[in-house]
Amino acid sequence: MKIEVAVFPFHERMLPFIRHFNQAQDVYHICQAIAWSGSGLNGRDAAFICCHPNIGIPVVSPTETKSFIGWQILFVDCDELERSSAAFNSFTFFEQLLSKGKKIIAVAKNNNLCSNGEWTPLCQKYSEQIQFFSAADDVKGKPTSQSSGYSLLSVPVLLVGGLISQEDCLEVILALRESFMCQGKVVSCLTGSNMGLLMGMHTYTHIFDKKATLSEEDKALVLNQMAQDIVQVERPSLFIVEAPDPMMKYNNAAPNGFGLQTYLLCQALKPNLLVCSVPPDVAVAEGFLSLISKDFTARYGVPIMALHVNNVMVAAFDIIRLHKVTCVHTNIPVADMLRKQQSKNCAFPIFNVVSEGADGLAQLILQREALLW
Amino acid sequence: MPHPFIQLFKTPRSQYVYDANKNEILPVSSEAFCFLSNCTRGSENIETTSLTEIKELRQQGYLATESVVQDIRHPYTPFVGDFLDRKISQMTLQVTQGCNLRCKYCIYSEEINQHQRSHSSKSMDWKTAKQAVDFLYAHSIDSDHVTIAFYGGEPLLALPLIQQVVAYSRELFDGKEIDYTITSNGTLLTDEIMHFLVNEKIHLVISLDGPKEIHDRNRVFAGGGGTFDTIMKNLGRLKELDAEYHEKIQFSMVMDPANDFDCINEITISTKDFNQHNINAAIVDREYDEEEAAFSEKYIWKFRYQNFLAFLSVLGRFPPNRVSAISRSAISSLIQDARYIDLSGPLRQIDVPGGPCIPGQMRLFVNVDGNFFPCERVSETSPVMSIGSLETGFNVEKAIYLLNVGAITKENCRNCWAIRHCSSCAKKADIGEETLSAQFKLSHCESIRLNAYVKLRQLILLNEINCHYSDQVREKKRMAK
Repeated sequence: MKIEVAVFPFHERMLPFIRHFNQAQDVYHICQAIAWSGSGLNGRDAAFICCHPNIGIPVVSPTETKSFIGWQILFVDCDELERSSAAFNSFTFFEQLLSKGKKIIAVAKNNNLCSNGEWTPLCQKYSEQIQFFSAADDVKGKPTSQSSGYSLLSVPVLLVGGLISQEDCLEVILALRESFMCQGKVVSCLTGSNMGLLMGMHTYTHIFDKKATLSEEDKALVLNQMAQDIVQVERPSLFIVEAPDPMMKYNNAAPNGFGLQTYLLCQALKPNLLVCSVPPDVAVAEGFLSLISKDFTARYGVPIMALHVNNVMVAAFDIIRLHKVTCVHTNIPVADMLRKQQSKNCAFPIFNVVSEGADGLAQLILQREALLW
Repeated sequence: MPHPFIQLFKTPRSQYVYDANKNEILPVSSEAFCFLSNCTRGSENIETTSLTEIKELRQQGYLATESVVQDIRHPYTPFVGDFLDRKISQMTLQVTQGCNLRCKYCIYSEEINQHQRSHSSKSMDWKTAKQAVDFLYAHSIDSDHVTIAFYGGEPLLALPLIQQVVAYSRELFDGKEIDYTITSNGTLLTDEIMHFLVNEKIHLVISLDGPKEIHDRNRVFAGGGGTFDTIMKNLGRLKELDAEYHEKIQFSMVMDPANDFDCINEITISTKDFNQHNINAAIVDREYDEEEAAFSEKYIWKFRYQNFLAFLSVLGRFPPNRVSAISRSAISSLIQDARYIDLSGPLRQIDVPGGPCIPGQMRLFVNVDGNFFPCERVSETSPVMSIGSLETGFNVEKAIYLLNVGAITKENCRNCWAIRHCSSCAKKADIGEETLSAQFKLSHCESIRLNAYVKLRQLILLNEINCHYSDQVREKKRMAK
C-alpha cells in the first residue's frame, strides 16, 4: 500500500511531475494537489491548469482543510512558495499539519533553508517530520583543482526545449524517461524542476538562480562538471536535458530572454539531438521551421530532430501591452486537429506526448541515437 | 491600367513608397516617385516601365499590383472560445447607472444620444457583483494578473458595493496578482473614500476636461453649476492625505474640439495641482449621437503647433516643460510605435485589419443587469454588441462575428493600403441593430486612412532625423555646452 501524499503549492510546472510520479516509483502516491485560492483551480482536476485530459488528481485550496483527503505527507516546492505573493500564511498551515503528525518533504534550489528564515522554528520543533531535498546538495559539480575540467559527455545528449515558451518540455522529458525505462534503458535527466529531485532526476535551478554569484563562464563549467558527475554515477545510455528558457527571441517588443540561458547550457553540454516544443499554429509550412532549425544549428550546435506540438497559443495582444509573451491553453482536440492538418507540410516528425504518449518519439530517438554511435 | 498596391509619402528632403503587401517603407528617387505617382493616377503602366529602379524593386517582390490578401479572417478565430474561457484579464463592473452630474456631452444624455441607454438610477446588486467576480475567477486561469475596474454613472455612488467586491475578490484571488481601478468624476471624494482608495491601492482615474472655464462648460452637477472647484478641492485634500498616491492619479480629458486648444491645454502647462504627465486626452465621442465632433480653426492649428513643439522637444530644440503634456504624450506614443511598426510583418493570404481585439477578453464590461459587452465604450442597447451574460455565459459565435468585423467589408479591407494600420473595430459598424453595418463601417474609412497616413509620415520624419537633421541637433547640444 503506497503512502498517500499531497503537493503544495500546485502550479503549472508541477503538472508533469504529478502526472508521472505515481507510476515512476512504488512508495508514494500523490492523491491531491493544493493550489492557491487565486489559481481558479479549486474543485477541478489538476490537469485543467494546462487544459489537458483529466488525470484524476483533485485540486483544493489550502483553506479548504475539510476537503483534504487522508494524505500523510506534503511535498512542498519551496521556490514556488518564495515566488508567491499570497497573503495565506503557509508556515502556520505547515505547523498545523505537523502538529497533527503529518510530514513534510520540501524541495528547494538552496540547502540552507533550515538554518535561516521561516523554516527554522519548524525545523527545530519538528526535525523528525521535515526532510529537505536541495539542488545544491544533489550533485556536487563545483570546479576544483581536482576536477576533470571541461569535456564532452561520453553519452548522447538530448535537448528538449520550447520554441516560444517552455510549455510541455518537462512533460516530454518525463514521458520519454518513462518510455525508456519500460524498455530497460537507463536515462539521466537534468531539468529546471526541483520536484524532479524526488524522482531521482537532477536540476540546475541553483546554477541559474538570479542570486547565484557564479560568472557566466563558471555556470557553463559547473553544468558540464555536474553532467559528468551524473554520467559517472548513473551510467545512462542517454542524457536528457531541459532548455532553461525559450529558445528564441519572440520579437523586438517581447525578446523573451533571447535564449541566453539555453545557449549557455548548450556550451556546457553540446547536445546531439533536439526535440522542440512548438505551438500548434507554428507547425506549418516547411520553410519556417527549416529556417529555425538552421538557426539552431548555428546558435546551439544542434538542428531540430522532432517536434512536440503543445496546446498553447501566444496572446499577441499582450506582446505590445506588457512586453512579454503570455499564452492561453487551447483545447487539446483543437490543437491536435491543427497538427494533423499541417503535419503533411512539415519537414519534421510531429508528436504530441500528452495525447499519444512518448513511445513513437522514443523510437525515433533510439534510431537517431544509433546513428550517433 | 494596374495600380501598384502602395501609398506614397514625400518629405521636404526625400520621397518614400509604403508597400502595403510587404508592410515596408522604402526610400525612392524623385524620378521613381514621380513615376509611381503617375501609376496611381493611371497615367503610367508599372508593368511596362523601363525605369531600372522600379524594375529591380518589382523583381524583389515589391510594388505588386494586387493585394496578397484573399480572405479576411482573424487568426485567433478557432481559439476565441479558449481565450474567453481562460484568459480574461480585466472585468469592468458597471456598479451603478446613477450619476450626480449631467455632463453635456454624456453618451447617456437623453437629449443627444440615439443608440445608447439614458441616465437611470439602476445599480448593481451584490448577488450580480459576486456572480461577476466568480465568473472572472473561473475564466482567468491563464491570466497571471487580473484587474477589476469600477465604472458608472458615477461609481462612488455605490461605494458599499465596491468595498464588498474588493474584500471578496482579494480573498478569492489570493495567490494571483489583482488590482483595481475606478473612473470617477472626482466630486464625491470624502476623507473616508480617500482612505479606502489609498489603503486598498485602488488606481484612480478622474475626469477633467481642462481649466475651469473649459471644464465647467460641459461637466456640471445634475442640479446645475460647474464641478471644477469641487474636484480641485478634493485633489488638494488627497494630496495632504497621501502625496504619493496623489502623484499617481490619472486624468481622463475629454476634449471638445470646438474649443481653443490653448485654452484646453492651459491646465497641462500651468497646474501644480496634479501630475500633468498623467493626462490621457481624447476627442469627445459623438458616434452614438449620429454626429461628428466639430473642429474649430483655433483647435486645429494650435493642436498642430503644439505637436510641432513636441517634436522639437524630443530633438532637444525646445524645452519640454513648455510643451503641451497632451502633445508630448502623443509623440511619446508615436516613438514607441515606431519601434514596433514592422512587428506585424507582411500581409498574408488570410489576414485581418489591425483594429479589433477579442471581444470581452481584455476588458469585459458587465452592466448592472449582468450582461456582457466587449468594453465600456459600446452601446448597451445595441443587440449586436451583447456578447452574453452572467446567466448564459459567453456567446462565442457573437464574439467571433465581432472579431471578424473586417469580413463584412472584405473587398474594401483587402484592397486598402492601410489595412495593417487600421483602428476600426465593431463599434464603428454598430447602428444598433442585430447585425453590423458595412455602410456605416465604411463611412469611417477615410478618416482612419488619413490618421494612418499622418502617423506613417511622422514616423518617416523621425527616421529622417539622424540622416538629414543630425547636424542641427548636434549643433544645439554643442552650443548648450
